[in-house]
Amino acid sequence: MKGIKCYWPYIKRIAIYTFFLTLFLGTIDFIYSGGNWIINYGQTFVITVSCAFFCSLFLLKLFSFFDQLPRLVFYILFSLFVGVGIFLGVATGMLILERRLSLQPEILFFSFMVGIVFSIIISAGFVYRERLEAKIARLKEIEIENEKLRRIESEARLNGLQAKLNPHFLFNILNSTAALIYDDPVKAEKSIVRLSNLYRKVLSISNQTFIPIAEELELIEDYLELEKMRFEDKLSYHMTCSEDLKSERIPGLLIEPLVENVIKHGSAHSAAAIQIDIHITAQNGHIAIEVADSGPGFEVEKADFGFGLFSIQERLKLLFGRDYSFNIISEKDQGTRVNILIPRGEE
Amino acid sequence: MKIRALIIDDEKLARSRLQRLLRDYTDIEIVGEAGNGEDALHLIEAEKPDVLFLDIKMPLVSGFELLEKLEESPFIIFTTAYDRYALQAFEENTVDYLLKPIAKEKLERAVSKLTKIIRQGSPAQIDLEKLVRSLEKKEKVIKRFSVKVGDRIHIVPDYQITFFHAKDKYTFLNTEEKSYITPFSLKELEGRLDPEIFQRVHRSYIVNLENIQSIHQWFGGRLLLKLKGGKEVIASQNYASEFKKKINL
Repeated sequence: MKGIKCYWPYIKRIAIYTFFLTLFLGTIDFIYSGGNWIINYGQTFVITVSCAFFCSLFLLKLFSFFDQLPRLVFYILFSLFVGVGIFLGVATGMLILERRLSLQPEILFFSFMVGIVFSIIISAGFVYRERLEAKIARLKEIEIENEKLRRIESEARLNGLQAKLNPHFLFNILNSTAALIYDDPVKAEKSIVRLSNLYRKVLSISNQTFIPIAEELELIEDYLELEKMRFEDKLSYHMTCSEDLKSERIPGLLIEPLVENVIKHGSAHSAAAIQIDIHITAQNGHIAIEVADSGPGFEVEKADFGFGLFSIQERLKLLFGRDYSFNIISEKDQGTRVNILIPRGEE
Repeated sequence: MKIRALIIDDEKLARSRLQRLLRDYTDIEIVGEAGNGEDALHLIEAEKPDVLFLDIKMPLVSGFELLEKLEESPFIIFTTAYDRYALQAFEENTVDYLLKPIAKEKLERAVSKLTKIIRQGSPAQIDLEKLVRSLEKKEKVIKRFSVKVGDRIHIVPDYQITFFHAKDKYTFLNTEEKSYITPFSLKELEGRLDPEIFQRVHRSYIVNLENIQSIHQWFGGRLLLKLKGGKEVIASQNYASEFKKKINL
């Protein structure tokens, strides 16, 4: 697409303007001064073409610097330049046509008006096109909006399934349990019961269900006890929840993915022991959930977040509108803290 | 001569299970086990094992990082619970891989394959470099960015991003509605964005191809890209040809 081809739409436009300008000026010349119409039109044509090309080449150079301008400013400038170009073209043309060598006010005024008229016509054309495009875009947008909603919904559902059936966790636990069968049959039995409990609970929770905080904490305990079997003394945890909040209902599997994240990233980047603290407190009409860990921490703004955290954010947005908060504070080697604030008394 | 094996896994239970399973093979002698990459490195240097039973996900040094550090790599049998992306790479590049919980028959297959290779005297190396690279690439791509809104963090998935632009030493991440500052430079982003959907189109712009609504010819061989959300971006002449190739224009 090098060379002249990419200027084609531009040249086409110039050609159209030139054609109308020639027609217009030629007619005026013919009416006023009479004589041979071929000469009239011919003369004007040559003049306007050279003028238009001069203007357009000038514009082409000039506008390569104007790319970054807002659209409206660009249109105004463009129309103005074309207007000035036409003004100059017409003025020169008339001077030669009338075979007068002095600039007369009428000629100036007439050329100026022609310039303005063309400016306005061009601007109007731009505005009309812009409107039309905006209209089409709006129609498309509605369609896209619907599509987006559908996508979020199905993604949330898919993510829910993935998180619940996290194969990495499941197979690792089964592998550890297989080892325990010989080493410590009692522990192996416990592990199988815990795993069954965990999956039963998890499978009964869908994206929209609210469950009592106590239930979520039980589920987390099952999960953490299973992980402890794998990581032994490298993992410890502490959970607190004020008594009156235990029966309060929150979206199911809201906290569990946070804990899972700690293990996933903590164990991947540090051989040191990890402590997880989960605190749930009442805070003027809201439930404040904090999951803090002593893991390696990370640079939050440069991190790639997993789907788990993102889907928590999206679920909170869908469920509570603006009445929630969700924040992550972390620093390298300083551990991580995730805070969630949601309204009380939801069902 | 027995085959000297080293078990590397961060879980004690997983190591002891593999130990027990390998006890049935008189050909294989376990010369040690390591719970993290560092210990593994020392052991490998000290013992010069013939084969590693290597878990991929380990603290501090992952299985792959460990492999990168080895000057001379032994044969490798990967053990993993579940890695969607890794499996195919293993298929092509290692002696074998074992899925946890490890099945006796699968271990049997892996060991006999290994014995055969070693008895034949083939050199140990498989294209580890290729393996490591193919797996690393997937990890480096950022799919969800975090941006600061006041003192809070907001997570933006890459498909919601319309474009990135650099201005006055800052880089901005733009969605249909909003614009945020991101600490990455455009150059860094070029290496960390999904190349399937993001493309540099200008010295100061990277756009999400999936969020382009229309493309228009512009002066000087450039292109004007209208993006979702109404913003417009210029594709400069230098980048336009690559851009066109990408979108099959």
